[in-house]
Amino acid sequence: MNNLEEVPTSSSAPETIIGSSVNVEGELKSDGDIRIEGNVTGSVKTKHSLAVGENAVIEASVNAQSAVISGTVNGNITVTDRVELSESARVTGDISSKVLSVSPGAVFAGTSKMATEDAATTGATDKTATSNDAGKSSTEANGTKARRGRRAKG
Amino acid sequence: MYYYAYAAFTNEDKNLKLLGDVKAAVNQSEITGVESTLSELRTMRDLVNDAKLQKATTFVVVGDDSTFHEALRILMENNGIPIGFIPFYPSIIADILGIPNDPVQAARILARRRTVRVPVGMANKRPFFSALSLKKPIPANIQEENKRRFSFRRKAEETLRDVSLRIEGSISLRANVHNLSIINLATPELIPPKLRDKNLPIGEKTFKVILEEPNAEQQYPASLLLGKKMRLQRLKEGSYFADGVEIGTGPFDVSFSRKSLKLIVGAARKF
Repeated sequence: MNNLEEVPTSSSAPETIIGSSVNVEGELKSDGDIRIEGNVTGSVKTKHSLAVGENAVIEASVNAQSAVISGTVNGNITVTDRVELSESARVTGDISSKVLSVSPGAVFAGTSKMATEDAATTGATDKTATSNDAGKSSTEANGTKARRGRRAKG
Repeated sequence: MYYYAYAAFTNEDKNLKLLGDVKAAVNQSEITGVESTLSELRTMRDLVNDAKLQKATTFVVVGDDSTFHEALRILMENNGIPIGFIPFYPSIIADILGIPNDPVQAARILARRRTVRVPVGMANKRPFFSALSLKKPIPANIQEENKRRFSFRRKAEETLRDVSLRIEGSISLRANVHNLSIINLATPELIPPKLRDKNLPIGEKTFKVILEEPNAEQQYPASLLLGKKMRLQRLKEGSYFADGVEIGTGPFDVSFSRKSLKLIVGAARKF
C-alpha cells in the first residue's frame, strides 16, 4: 500500500526486527535472522543469526546459530557457532558456544561452556570456564585453545 | 458474460458525463454485458445473486473502494467468478491492482482480462487481499498532487497509537507506533516492489507485520515480524483499514481464508 513505500527494507534486512519502541512477551521464533532493538521477555530462537542492539533488553533464553550482543541479556545463551559480546554488552547467564569473543568493557556474569567440533558431533561438551566481569580484556577462544591453556598451566 | 454492478452514486447528475464515457469505453472494448445499479432496494447481495442466475463469467464493480470491498465480501461466498474494477474516484484498490485511476482506461484493462488468483486474508469476516493497516493509505495520484501543492509545508506530526498484537498465540507485543500494517505475502503480483525482500516467504500464505516506529531517524525505523494467524486488539482511537477501506476499531482475528479470489489486474503496479 502507498504508505508502506517509505518503510526501508532491503535484501540484506533481517527477517525479524523488534524496534526500540516494541515490547515483546513470549516465544520469539524465526527461520531467518533476528535483530532486537527493543525489549523481549520469554525466549528467542532462530536457526540463523541474532543481533542485539545497544539499548535492547532481553529477559529470555536465547538459541541461535550465531549472536552479536551489544545490549543487555539476562538469560542463558546457547549458540551453535560464535558469540560476540561487544563493549556495551551486559550478559547475566550462561553462554554455550563454539567460539566466544568478548570485547573490552563488556560485562559477562555467568559460565561459558565451549564445545570443540569433535565434541559437538558426539554431543559432548568441553571444558567449562566461569567468568565474572570478564570483559576487562579482549578474549577470543575456542574449546581447543581453552583446553591447551589449562594443560600448559598444569 | 460480463455483469456490471454500478454504485448508486454513478447515476448522480455530476457523474453522468463520466458514466457515459465509461459505458462508451466498455462498448468500444467489446466487453458489454448486463448492467445493474445498486440502490436502497437492490443490494450488492441481490446483484451477486442475479449475476449467478445469469451465469456471468466476470463480475465488474463500477464505483469506489467501498463498493468493491462490499462486492468482495459477498463474492467470497461464491467461488470462482473473476472480479474486475472500474474506479470512479481516486482509488487505493485500483493502485494495488495496477488499474489506472481513470475509468475509461480501466475499462480497457478489463478487456485484457489478466486474472490472478489471490489467497485472501480475513479480519474477522472482512476480506483483504493486500494489507490491513492503521493509517488510511492515500491513492497514488492524490499523493502526487499533494507533493506538488504542499511540498513547502512542514510534514504534519503523525499520531502515535498504542497497539497490541498476539501472533500465532505465542508472541504478545505492545508498541506505540505511527502505523501498523499486516501485508498479505501470498500474491507476488500484488506486493509493492519495495517490499519484495528475497528473504521473505513471498507466495506463501504468510503475513508480514510492519510497525512504523516514532523515531524514523534510527537505523531500524520499523519492526518486522512474520505470522500466519494473529489477533489485533481494539483501538482506543481510530480504525483499521482493509485495502484502504475502513473496517472498524477491532478487535480482529486475522488469518487466511481457505477460499481465494480471482481478480482482474493491470499490466503493472504503479508503486
